[in-house]
Amino acid sequence: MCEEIDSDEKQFILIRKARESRSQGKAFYMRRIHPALLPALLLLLLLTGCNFIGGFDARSREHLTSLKAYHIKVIDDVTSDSGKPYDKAKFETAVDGGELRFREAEEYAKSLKDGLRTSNIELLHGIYGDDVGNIGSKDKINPTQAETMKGPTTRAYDRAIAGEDLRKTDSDK
Amino acid sequence: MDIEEMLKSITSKSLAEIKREFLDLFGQAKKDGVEFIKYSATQIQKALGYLAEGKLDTDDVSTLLKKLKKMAQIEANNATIAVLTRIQKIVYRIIDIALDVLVKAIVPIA
Repeated sequence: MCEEIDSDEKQFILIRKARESRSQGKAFYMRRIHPALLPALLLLLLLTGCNFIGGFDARSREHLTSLKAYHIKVIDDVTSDSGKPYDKAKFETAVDGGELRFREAEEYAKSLKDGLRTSNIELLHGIYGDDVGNIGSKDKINPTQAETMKGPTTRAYDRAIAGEDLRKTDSDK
Repeated sequence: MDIEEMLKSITSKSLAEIKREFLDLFGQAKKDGVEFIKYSATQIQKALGYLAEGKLDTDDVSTLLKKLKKMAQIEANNATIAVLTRIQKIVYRIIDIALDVLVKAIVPIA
């Protein structure tokens, strides 16, 4: 009985709202949207349509955390507080290993067809290239140089991971 | 080390204008409400201080500066992701519900 009343009330409210919005519809749009703004609105719709954001991807997140750990280890392995030169051959092998990991992560990101995810991976790849390029131009790395590289690098990965997490829906949490 | 102290060694008159602009922007950045802008200013100040002390060389500093530029792009990407995710989560869902349910459920009044 109660359910029937509730259902009738809801139906009544829906009908009333539909009637109101139908009678006010034209006036509402005329009042709120100036015709000169229509091209800009269409452009906005077009742009947002082009920039489709894919959903959260656990494998992409794993790529980011694994690349972060690898990148930081490459810096740690060449750092010495005693002024000892690092092993160039070992470093170059590690650099190549990192290059391969980035290429795999980029190919995977591209397959998900979300330009912003791909862009974040490519930017991190650029940061990796800059760091290993700087290390490779020297014979030794002191702790201050290592910290100056590692601090912002860690933050860059953390922000890209946060970007992946922004895509989470309630069902991903 | 204070940033103005560090820049005291730049005495060239041709660089005076650039120095003034840098100090002005640096002051704004340190007080900015956006965390990344403040973080960048702090990192730049630290790196220039280490450069003055001889703990970093110019390659180290330029590597850091290029890194901060790329990090700024990641921040911009994240801001776009946040806005577009909300549009997809809220506006798309409203449209879907309206299309799939409400349009069919609302009975026109004769």
